[in-house]
Amino acid sequence: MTASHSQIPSKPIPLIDEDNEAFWASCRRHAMELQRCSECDYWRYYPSPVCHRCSSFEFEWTPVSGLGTVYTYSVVYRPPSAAFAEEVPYVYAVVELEEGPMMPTNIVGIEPSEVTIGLSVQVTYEDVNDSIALPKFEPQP
Amino acid sequence: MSRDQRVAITGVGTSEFARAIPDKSANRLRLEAILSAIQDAGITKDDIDGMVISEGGGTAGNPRWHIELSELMGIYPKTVCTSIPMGGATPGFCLDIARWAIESGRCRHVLIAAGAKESGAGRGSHGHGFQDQLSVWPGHSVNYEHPFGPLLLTFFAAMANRHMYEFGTTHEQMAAVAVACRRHASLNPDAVYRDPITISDVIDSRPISSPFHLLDCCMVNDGAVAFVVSSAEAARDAPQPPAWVIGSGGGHSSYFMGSLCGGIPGRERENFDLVRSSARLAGDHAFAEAGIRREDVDVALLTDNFTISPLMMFEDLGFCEKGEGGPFVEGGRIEIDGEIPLNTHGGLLSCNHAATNFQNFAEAALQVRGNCGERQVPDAKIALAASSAGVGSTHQVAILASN
Repeated sequence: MTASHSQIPSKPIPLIDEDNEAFWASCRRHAMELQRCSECDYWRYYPSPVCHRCSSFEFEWTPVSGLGTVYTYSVVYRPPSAAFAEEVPYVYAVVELEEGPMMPTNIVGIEPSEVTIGLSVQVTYEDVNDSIALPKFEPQP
Repeated sequence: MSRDQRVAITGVGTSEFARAIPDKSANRLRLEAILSAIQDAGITKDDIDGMVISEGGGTAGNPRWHIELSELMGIYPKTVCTSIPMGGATPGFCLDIARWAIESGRCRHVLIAAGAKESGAGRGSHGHGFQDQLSVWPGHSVNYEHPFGPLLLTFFAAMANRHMYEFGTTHEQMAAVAVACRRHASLNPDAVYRDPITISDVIDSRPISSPFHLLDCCMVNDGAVAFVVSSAEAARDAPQPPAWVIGSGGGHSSYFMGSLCGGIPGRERENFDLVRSSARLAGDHAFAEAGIRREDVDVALLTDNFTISPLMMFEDLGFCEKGEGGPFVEGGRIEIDGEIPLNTHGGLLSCNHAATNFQNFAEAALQVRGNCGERQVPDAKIALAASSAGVGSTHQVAILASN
């Protein structure tokens, strides 16, 4: 790595903790699992020790279909840091998963100007390092 | 109709506002605002028996500004002294605490202050980006948002896009908010940006995060604001007419975009989501307490961090129906000579963003006192001041009235 590269800040990398480690492990396997409450069947995201609906601690990590629709989005033109400078414009979005949870993400594999609310998307993974793969979404074929 | 006349804002003060004030510290700016507010209230520092200070300040380190400022000012003993860490919703809750302390008999004069040198905060500050290290970013949900590269304002941009999708709101309508605020700033000698702008200027400014362009977004700058809140008996002796606090309210939901979009788990029918904010709770409580109608309000001081915010607040505070905020802000209704002037100081968009939203409460007091010069709303008797943080997540509202 050259000296000039070392001046560029890295993108933020999620921190792994007791509550989210199974989630990041599933993304690493490219087979995303979310928590489903054992008491009330409510699917939740982000990872949490307790059900947001019924307050139960009982849950199961459960595979999701990876399908969803764009609930809302914004095309980012001004990079938040130099780490994102070469990627603008890109799409920040919230995807409504088929199972219910809303997931902040990027929409990739499509021109930013083509993205619309309601677009059908499917999960794809960006391997960031040995620990983290970010769940991103691309148009369904 | 008898109105609550137990607590009033009796003094307001500000520092100068500028994009950067390199020769003064943040504390120097706060102290200038504080001394100006104390003088305006016609009291001395020894009369102050409570301090409620904003934790925000644009610099890292010890956030206990209430201790530091009371030492610098030599203001003690006090019976109430704290800092409030509620971001943009801080001023309204500072006022609530002052009000409750005075109503309970604990305090007679409570000093409220905030200030910051945002010019030195770089891209980690409001309206810009984020810290590269998630561990030092002050938010619990950043692990699941910031790896995807949003600017802070991208969250509001996503809110605006959803509002446009659900209700047909247009960028031109949002731009009308920026135009109104700039027109008002042109009448305010203290404002940072004073050259009038048009709808086209907003639309043609450079894109930042769709649908927002540069002029849809607030500035970051240096400055400070303070005010003094006093008991009725003290207020009646004050040199300036009192601005009575006749009602207030709070409304709080979530910060995480996924939670905001999804609504309240198990209570979806209550209809809170990204474009239906908890400002509704704050407004309903404040209006009920004040015993007034929306049409009684002469001037509205709302959070205008981005142009979508006041448009949506007019809906959630009940000035128009949900979804009608776009048409509501068009056609001059929110300008100084319109039905409900918005942000006569110029707002976060054109006047000052340091001490975020504190100036809404100071301006509301000045308006009902009739002290606003060229930007005075004729015969203003009732002003609504709002403060909001998160992504329209948390709200504190107060209604002020003249005698």
